[in-house]
Amino acid sequence: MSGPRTKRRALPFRRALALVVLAVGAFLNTGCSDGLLFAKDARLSIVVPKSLASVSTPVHLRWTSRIPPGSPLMYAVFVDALPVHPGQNLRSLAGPTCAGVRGCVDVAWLNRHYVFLTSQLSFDLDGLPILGTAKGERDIHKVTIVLVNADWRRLGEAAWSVAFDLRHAPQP
Amino acid sequence: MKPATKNGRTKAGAPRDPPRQLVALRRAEAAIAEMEEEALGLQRAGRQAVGVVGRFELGPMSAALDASRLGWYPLVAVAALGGVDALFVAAFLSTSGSISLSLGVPNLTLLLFIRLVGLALSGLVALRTIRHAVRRSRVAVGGAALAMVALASASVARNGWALAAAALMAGLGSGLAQATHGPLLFDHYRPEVRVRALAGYAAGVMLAASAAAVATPVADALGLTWRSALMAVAAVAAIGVLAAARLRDAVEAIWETRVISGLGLHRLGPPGPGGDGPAAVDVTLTAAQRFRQVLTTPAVRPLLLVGSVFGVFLVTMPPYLLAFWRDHWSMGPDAELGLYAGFCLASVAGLAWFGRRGELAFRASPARMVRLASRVIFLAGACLPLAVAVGSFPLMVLLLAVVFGTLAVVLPAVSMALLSVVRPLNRPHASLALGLAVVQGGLTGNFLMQAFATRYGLKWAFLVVALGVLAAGGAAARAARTVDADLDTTVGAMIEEHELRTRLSQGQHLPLLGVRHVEFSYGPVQVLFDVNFTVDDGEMVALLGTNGAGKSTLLRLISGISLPSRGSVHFRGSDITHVGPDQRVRLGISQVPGGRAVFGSMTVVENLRVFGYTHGRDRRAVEAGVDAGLAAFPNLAVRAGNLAATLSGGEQQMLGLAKAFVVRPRVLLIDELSLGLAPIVVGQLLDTVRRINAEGTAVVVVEQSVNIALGLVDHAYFMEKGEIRFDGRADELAARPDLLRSVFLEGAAKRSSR
Repeated sequence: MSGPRTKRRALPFRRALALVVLAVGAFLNTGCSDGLLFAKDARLSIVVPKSLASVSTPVHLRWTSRIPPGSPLMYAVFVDALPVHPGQNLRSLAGPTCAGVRGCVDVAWLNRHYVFLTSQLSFDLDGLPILGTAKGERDIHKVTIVLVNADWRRLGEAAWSVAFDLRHAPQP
Repeated sequence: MKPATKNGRTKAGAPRDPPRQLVALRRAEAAIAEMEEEALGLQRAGRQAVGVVGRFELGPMSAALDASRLGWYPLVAVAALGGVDALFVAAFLSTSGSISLSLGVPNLTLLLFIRLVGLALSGLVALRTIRHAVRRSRVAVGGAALAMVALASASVARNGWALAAAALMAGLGSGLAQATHGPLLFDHYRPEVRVRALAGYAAGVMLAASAAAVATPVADALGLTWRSALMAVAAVAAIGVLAAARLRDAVEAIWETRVISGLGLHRLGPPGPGGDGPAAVDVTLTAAQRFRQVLTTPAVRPLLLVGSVFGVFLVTMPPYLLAFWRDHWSMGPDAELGLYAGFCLASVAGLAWFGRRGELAFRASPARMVRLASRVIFLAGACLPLAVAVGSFPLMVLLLAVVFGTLAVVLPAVSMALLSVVRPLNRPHASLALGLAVVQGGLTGNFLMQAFATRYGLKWAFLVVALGVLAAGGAAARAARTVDADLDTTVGAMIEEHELRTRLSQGQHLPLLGVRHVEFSYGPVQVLFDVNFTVDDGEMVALLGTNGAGKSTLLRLISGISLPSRGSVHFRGSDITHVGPDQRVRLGISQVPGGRAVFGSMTVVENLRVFGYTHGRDRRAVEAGVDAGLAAFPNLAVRAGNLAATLSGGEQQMLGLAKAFVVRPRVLLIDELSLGLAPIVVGQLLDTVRRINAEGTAVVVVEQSVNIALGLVDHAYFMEKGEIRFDGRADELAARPDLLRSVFLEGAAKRSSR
């Protein structure tokens, strides 16, 4: 390299060290350990509906699973909502007042908030809210399935989702 | 000429020779006027220093880069660093949906805000670091390394906090990048190739965005998750960092300096070792003062507004476009990202076009280039609503390709105009301001689009963005109106600065204080018009005028309390126009404001010690100054422990004047010395003023009483309605009843005529 250059002192050691400490600190903050999912979890696959398929109510959901029948694991189906964090209990959806309190959140409460629990490989959804048609757009809904244990705690960070276009019957 | 000490200060008690002093001042003023005329004459030639060369043959890019003797490497390296900087946002946009599902983290937009905070913080650190002679190339590479670590860190994030830490780190890296990339390109390459270099840099950014966008579909196809995609992008970033590791620094503003130093200033001869004139002061502006200087350039604010639209284009639009393609064209996630990556490549094509067209336009006139950018932005603003309204997929793709191809040119166009119209040393600040504007634009755009998409639907949200783009086109057109004049001002200042240094080094006499072509407004009301005001070393000058003539405002500009809207203030050969008032006190400019300018709740001695900060830790010098001040006014010495609020009006004025003994200024500005005081007190004060002046301090007295003023000085200025009406000897002013006819001077004029 030839051309205009300056003779300036190198980055001081202390600053370089500070940057390295910052980087390492942030890296450690992530909790770099096992259990992170780098390859897709193929234990579950949503079969129906297909991505962005046009469907009408009741919406029939079906999936295949490699989880053996009789396992204590359950499928938590979130409709138009983000699932809870990995390791978080579904009861936490009700807020901090319900955390750790049995009976505070029951299945009916979850269903009212469009979270459904099932051990089956299919599920029918009804009474979905209208999201987009009021604005002249398609009514796209998204369903996400995660695994929870018998205590309703989410297991791992694997999540399977599908979006579909809900066609409503014309209003009388 | 007065005898002067080595540092230019007149010896205490030296006999004054007013007429000869005025002659010397006139010569110095003539030298400045000559410099200004010359700067005007050289302006056209000087514009070549920033690339306005007027030639229309471009030649191949490689030949142009070779002319800078550096080849392609610096451009490739800086573009790679720019790409690394862009990777985080692009990768985040591409993977945010999967991250949300996987980690259950809502509202990832907050991460962009965190990144903005990091950007602002580290940008300021970068500016400070650069000023402390750390190589900019190291800062730039360090910033990219941080962005790379942020990506790797995000790829193993377990929760929202970890993502926030990564976003902050990416922001910190981005701040270092924003403050260095543009200036590095400017200093590596000759001015006439800079538009193409900046377009190449922007192409690096868009290619990185494209690569990050396809990372997720590729990972999907390979059965991998977003973590693998982010890890792969981090690996790409690492390659970029390694590719730029050999980047060298360039001397700041080397091309401009070379051209300007070769501009017909040969008659001045080579720089000399310095003479007996006032030695030039080393003026270092703080980052805040440099930002203020940048923002006072008229074209800068509209250009930053245009830059914020690039943020909307780069940060806000992509997720909404993906949602639009999903909702209206039934595209799956991978197809959406693939299409987005293709549009990023369309941007590269637009940049290739603009690189040449913009270069040609800029060579003719920067305004022409900005107008070209303005037209292109208007085209994007027109195409965007059509693209979301048409029912034909190919037509939608074509229109969006035009939008991407045209909006991408905002970055090189705004960068080129912005970095050209500011002083070379302010380029990192301007560049950082642009970076902040881009990210802020992205955030604001996101909030707007979210609000409109939720309430009215996606199409309306895009319509709002289109209106914003059209507004940016208007802002660009507005910037085009002033950009040429701004460039001329900057070039003129660079020429003048170069000549000032040359003359100073040759020992030529220059005034101690020079206010040149200053204008000032209080809001919409202009109160100073093209004011020139000069004070020589050790001189005593009176500034007279009617009420509301602008005398006190002029003093405020000299002492740095207010900033001129146009013109400059030079002190001891250095431009101090944007230097803060505290720095000016340290340099040697001190003001005794009109009225009772004391701290009433402090004692007399404490009032004097307050000004001891100019001596740093030298307590002995502070106490010596306090003793001298009290010795000059025995009345104050008696009441040294009393609160200043309990002093009489005359004593308070004495206390205000006594600070000169602590600060020991080179120029003392006194506003309304005699206002409301008894004649006997005024007499005491005047004796002290004479003594201060006799010890070598130049004094500027603003006075209502013409008798007092003209009896005190040999050189007087007369102001009326914000303009200097008279500049000459005091006795000549006394013989000008046409000027002294003004209300408050009427009586004095009659006495003078008798």
